[in-house]
Amino acid sequence: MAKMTRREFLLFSLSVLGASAFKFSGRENNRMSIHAITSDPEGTYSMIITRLSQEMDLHTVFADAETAALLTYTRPGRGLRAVVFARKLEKEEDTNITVVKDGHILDPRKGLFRQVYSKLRKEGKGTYLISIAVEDEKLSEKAKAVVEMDGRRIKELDLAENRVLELKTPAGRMKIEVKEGKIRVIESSCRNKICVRTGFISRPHEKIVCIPNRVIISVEGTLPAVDAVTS
Amino acid sequence: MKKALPAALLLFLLTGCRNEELKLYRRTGFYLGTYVTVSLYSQKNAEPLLEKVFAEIKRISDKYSAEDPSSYINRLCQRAQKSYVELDEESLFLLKSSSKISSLTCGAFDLTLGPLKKLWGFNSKPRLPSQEEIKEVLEKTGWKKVHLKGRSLKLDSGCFFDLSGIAKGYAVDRAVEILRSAGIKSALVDAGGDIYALGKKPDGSKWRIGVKHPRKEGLIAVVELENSAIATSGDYENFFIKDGKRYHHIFNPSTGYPASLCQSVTVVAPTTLEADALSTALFVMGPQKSREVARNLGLSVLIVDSRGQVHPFEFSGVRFKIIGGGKK
Repeated sequence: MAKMTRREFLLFSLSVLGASAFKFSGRENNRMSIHAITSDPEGTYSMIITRLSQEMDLHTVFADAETAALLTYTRPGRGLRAVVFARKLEKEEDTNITVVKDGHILDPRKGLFRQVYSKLRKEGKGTYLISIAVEDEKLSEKAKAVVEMDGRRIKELDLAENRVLELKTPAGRMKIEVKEGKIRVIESSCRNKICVRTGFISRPHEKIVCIPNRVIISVEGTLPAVDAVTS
Repeated sequence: MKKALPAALLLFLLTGCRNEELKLYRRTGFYLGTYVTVSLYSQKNAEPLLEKVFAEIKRISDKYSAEDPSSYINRLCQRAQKSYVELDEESLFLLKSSSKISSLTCGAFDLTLGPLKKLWGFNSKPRLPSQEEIKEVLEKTGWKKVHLKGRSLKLDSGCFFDLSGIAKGYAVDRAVEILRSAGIKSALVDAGGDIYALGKKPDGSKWRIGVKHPRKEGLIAVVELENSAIATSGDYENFFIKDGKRYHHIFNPSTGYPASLCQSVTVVAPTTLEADALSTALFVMGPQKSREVARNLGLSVLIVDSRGQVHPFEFSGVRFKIIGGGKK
């Protein structure tokens, strides 16, 4: 990205947001997640965000950089998600934050971003322009888990709905639990219990695999953070 | 705002139109002791092609199955313990590839550890064997028990091959070959985390592969690939804990005990066979020696050592984006 003014950068951020139609984070139920896009993924900005996330008790999920980095922080119990664009500015003296919610610009010194705002002003002084777009829970799509047996989809489970279910498999049986946006296998007739030991999964492309029972449980979301996972 | 909306709309339309012609085809099957998922983009119906790909994966899975006593490889090993047996082209290729990787890694990659795996019971009931038992089994393992004359193979008595350390990667490569020759430009083949990324995605971006965190939920790194393979060996998938110590299924061929220098090793390589075998070998070698191997071969390798420290050795163009810290 070439040099941009504050206004140009905001427009750029909004155009990207518009293109992805707020489907960016997609799926984490009752969590707040912030996506930060920066042209300086390994630099000071990431450090600020990292420190910020610790401060606010946000949890790091994912980061990436092409020309930009996408950092996601989730926080249980929040029905909000936000996209943060940050950009290093040569001219601006202060850190600027713009919060956009449902197309309206909010005062970042109040409410949820008050902490973020004061923190960024302190630590990122004179370097960054941050714009944050907030997505309400009502805009988000529900996360779901897909249970495949023998390569066929047999069930789709809403991760927002806590439940325990039993599954008859070609080789025996399994007991699956959905709890607070996460899913796990609690019992299985298989020998090595690798599926049980995998524990909870909650993010797109995370998998629980039980070879003896020929079952794969995976999480689907609107933002495939990655196309596959090597493990 | 007014300026941004048309731009956004245009972007949406452009990507929308381009993707319309290509459809995603996806299938999962259970072979090679794991799951295999093939995802591909094609303009025409790709179901017959998927059929062909999975037939090939099944063929390799059956032929080199370590569990099935009547599999080609197990029958071959039995006969080769008695006299020289001629190998077919494919098995010769696999054997030579393994022995090459073995010599590149100072013997850290060893296909003759079948008896050791059996002793530790990782495919059935895992247990901690006694030192005497391990010593006894180590007598039967090692490349020195393998004799190759031209195309003919002879094994010392009690020695047998377990090709599971290489067959998975090989099967992925074969699947990719079939896809390529059918004109597929964009596909992802994933055999239990041994992955080949063919071409780019239809939107022009590279395939994004996450590397699992060896101790926590989620990922430790993300890497972008195009016409490249990636595989990970970790101590977290098949293990048991006894008296507070973790025993897993990747063995140090010289001690007969699980290798203890790493939590996970991820290798990006030109072929899945290499990525698969090298991730196992480097896991045994540990971060220091692995760095040398990665440099000599020009590979990108990500190692999480036994203390949870992350070591990215990037000697190819591929770079790992580290996400999580290393510690628990």
